[in-house]
Amino acid sequence: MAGIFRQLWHLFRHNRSTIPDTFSLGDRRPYGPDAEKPEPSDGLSPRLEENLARLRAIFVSPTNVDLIIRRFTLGSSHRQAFIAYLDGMTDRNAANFGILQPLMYLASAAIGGSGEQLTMDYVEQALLPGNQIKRVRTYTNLTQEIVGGSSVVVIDGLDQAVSVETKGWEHRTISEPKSESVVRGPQEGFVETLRPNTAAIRRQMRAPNLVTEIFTVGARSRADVALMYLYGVANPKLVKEVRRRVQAIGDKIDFVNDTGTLEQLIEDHPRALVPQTIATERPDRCAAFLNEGHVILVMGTSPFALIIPATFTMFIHTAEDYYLRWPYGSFVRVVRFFAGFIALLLPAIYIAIVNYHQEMLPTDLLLAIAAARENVPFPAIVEVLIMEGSFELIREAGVRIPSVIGPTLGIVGALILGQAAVAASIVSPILIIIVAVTALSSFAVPNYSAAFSLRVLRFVFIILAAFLGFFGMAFGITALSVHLVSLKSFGVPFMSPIAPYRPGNTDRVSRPSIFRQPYRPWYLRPMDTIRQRLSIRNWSPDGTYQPETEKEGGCQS
Amino acid sequence: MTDLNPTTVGRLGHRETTLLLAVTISARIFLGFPREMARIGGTASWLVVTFAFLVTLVAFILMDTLLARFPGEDLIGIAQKVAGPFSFLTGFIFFASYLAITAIVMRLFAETFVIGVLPRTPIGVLTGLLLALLILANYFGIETISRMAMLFTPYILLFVLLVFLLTIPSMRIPNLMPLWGTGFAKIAWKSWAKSLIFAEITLLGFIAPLLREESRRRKIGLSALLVSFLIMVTTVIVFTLVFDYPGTKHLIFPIYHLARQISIAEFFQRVEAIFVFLWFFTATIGLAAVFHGATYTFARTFSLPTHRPLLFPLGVLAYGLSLLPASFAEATRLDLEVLRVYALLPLYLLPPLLLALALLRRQKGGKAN
Repeated sequence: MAGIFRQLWHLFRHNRSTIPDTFSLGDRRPYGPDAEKPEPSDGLSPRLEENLARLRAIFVSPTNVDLIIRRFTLGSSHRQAFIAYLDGMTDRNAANFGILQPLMYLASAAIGGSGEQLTMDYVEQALLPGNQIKRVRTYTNLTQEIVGGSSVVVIDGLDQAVSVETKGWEHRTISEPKSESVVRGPQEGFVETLRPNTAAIRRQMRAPNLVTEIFTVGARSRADVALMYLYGVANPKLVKEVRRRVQAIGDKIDFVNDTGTLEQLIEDHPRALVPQTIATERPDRCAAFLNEGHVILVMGTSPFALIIPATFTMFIHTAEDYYLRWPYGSFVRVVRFFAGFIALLLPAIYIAIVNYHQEMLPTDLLLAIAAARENVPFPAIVEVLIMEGSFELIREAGVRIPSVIGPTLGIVGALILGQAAVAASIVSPILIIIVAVTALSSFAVPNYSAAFSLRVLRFVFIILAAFLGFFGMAFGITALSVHLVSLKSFGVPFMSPIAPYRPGNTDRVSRPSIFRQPYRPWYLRPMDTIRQRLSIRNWSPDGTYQPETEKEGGCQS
Repeated sequence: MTDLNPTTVGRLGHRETTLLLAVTISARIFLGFPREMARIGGTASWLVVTFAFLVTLVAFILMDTLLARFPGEDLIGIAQKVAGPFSFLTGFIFFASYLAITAIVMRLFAETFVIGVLPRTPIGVLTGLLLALLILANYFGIETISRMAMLFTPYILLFVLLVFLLTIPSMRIPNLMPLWGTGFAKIAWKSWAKSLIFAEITLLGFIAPLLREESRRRKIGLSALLVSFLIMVTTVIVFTLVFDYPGTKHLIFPIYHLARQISIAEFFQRVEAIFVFLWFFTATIGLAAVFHGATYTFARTFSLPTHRPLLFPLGVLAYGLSLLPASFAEATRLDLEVLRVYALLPLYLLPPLLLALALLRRQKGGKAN
């Protein structure tokens, strides 16, 4: 029996292999499982040729043309040496004038004829003028230095190498944030390079105890992730936990290149409906949150930094709220909160009222709606799903459309969301208004991820309202609330300071006066609870703020 | 000390617990409660609530004294120390009471939804959805439920207060006369039995060990009782003022009718549909708390390490029980004339009994850690 199967299998294989002229990657991996090779020693060899061969093997050179190796002799001596770097990652001038020139020309006088006594200490201290120099003893470190943009100098006879920082690649200059623009306030956003980003935060927060720790994430992509926090303010347990999670990913994953991916790898509840960190393009926002005791993750390849932990109210806050005077700041926040509410529930409310609770509407309005719906051949739920679906199409197309043909979208969109749809008796005019208001509202939600979760949940609420009216919606709201209050972001309850309630933190929906917020958010358990003095405006009769909760020890609960 | 794993049960803040208990007790203002009070007290239904409150106060203080004697223990833990093998009975009585409350209140709320907004929906669907939420909320534990209470109670209270204020135009002060209703002595005699409308306060005997600051237990209980008393007494007074007592006596669905009275500028009217949300939030929070009491006492009685696996079977049991009464009227009668008069009496009597035993046997708990 087994023999028959084997023959059939061979026949099958044979037939497959006779199919001519089609390109295929084959039906198995090109190389079998890696043979148990003896691991060669990781330490650099004193023999230059061996080092060179190993380096070429690691970088698949010369097939890989990115690795540039320049061989030379040190000064007038016969000591052979080479420098290696990746083309495009380094600054040519730094390599030419900072490494090659001193070693080739200036070294003659210093090391004399044969250069027998040359040590790496001497090279490092006297010959290389680069300001960031690192001694490298293993191939692993050597490789890491090269892929990081440094140039390495390897000299014959020495089992050490020197890496000189020569990073210099083309990158976008600092520009306005794309998704978080403000009218009043700083106009700079992050870019796709680590150091300008951390420096932008540091310019906003010049505290010497602003600590930056750098980790590498991704076994192959090796992206730099900077963890920033205010030492003495941020809770050390929080810092330790974030560090632990970032390090835990470390080499276990091959490729991480954006904080969007990183966020999903380190968040507490990967199956939650809402984001649990805040992604921001704004250094000023990062600095403000650092001051409250939050922790920031910046990534070398991403223009978005992560603010950790995040709570519910932070998603309706923007940087601008704090730059405006409090009545305006509070007003725009209430508008935004209301917008979130509408974006989530308005279509569902329409369906519930039209299908189940007609008596809620005043008679005139009810008649108007009924008259408008008279020509529409669909039930309300289908009508709403058509319109919401079309709008999602417009929105998605709007993001993807090449800017050259962008104006087309406006024309097409106006046809769908407009008079044409009404004239074709597909939807009623009142629904156009509802979908438009919903769309406007969803754009008023400041956080991109949060707006997404509202978009998705809106459809859930539409379905619930279609089945059970207000009862279904109440069911949805309660289930959503249970979900939200059970969430934690890095140990902080997601709904704090509302539930659990923290009386000291008044910066929730309304935006209190700056001088009335003396405490850092208590839910972060900061090391320093006092953010500012109680009487900042002591020249003013209403400048001294005496919080009612002071006797409870500030914002403690 | 409770056996249950604190990570699945959580920790409770004092504000959250106060509001949770208050909303659980006063959830009945959305049910037939004002009608029953008017039936007993006539124009003086507020007096019935007051007497019931005073009786509950005594019961609560006795329970609190017992809890104070055994810090870090819940009522079943205390019973195990004091009554030995009879603790099983104590635990089972509490479990049965809470399960009965869950079932009957769930039925009553589902009935109000059927009458109020979804007349053609089978009651099983609505009960089933409520039950799904109870299981979901209890899966995350009492901590989540208490935070739900913190999140929703302010808005529930605000809306109820708004409704009360908006009905001021229909209020008539003479409706409250005669002040003593059917007679002071008669009401006093009849209302001790009604004191079990506050029976949910005994939940504190089981969640107290989870409080962040257990020393606040008495304060939490007293303020929860006071808040719910104020809500309930305001409700019955408003109803008597608006409908007078014969009217209130015949309202099937009191607060729904109250909301219908509202009409402002011909536009803001018939807002009772919005009340669906208030009922729903109140019902879920209150029921989830009582259902927690049922699952927790069951797990404790049988010394189970966690209550999570019990949620679904006990939920199904509550669902089945809730469908037993033949009609809405039957369910209401069961609630107010059977359950709240005799069946729940052990909830008030057991803690004093345990206290007496503890005093008699000179037993005292150790220090809580």
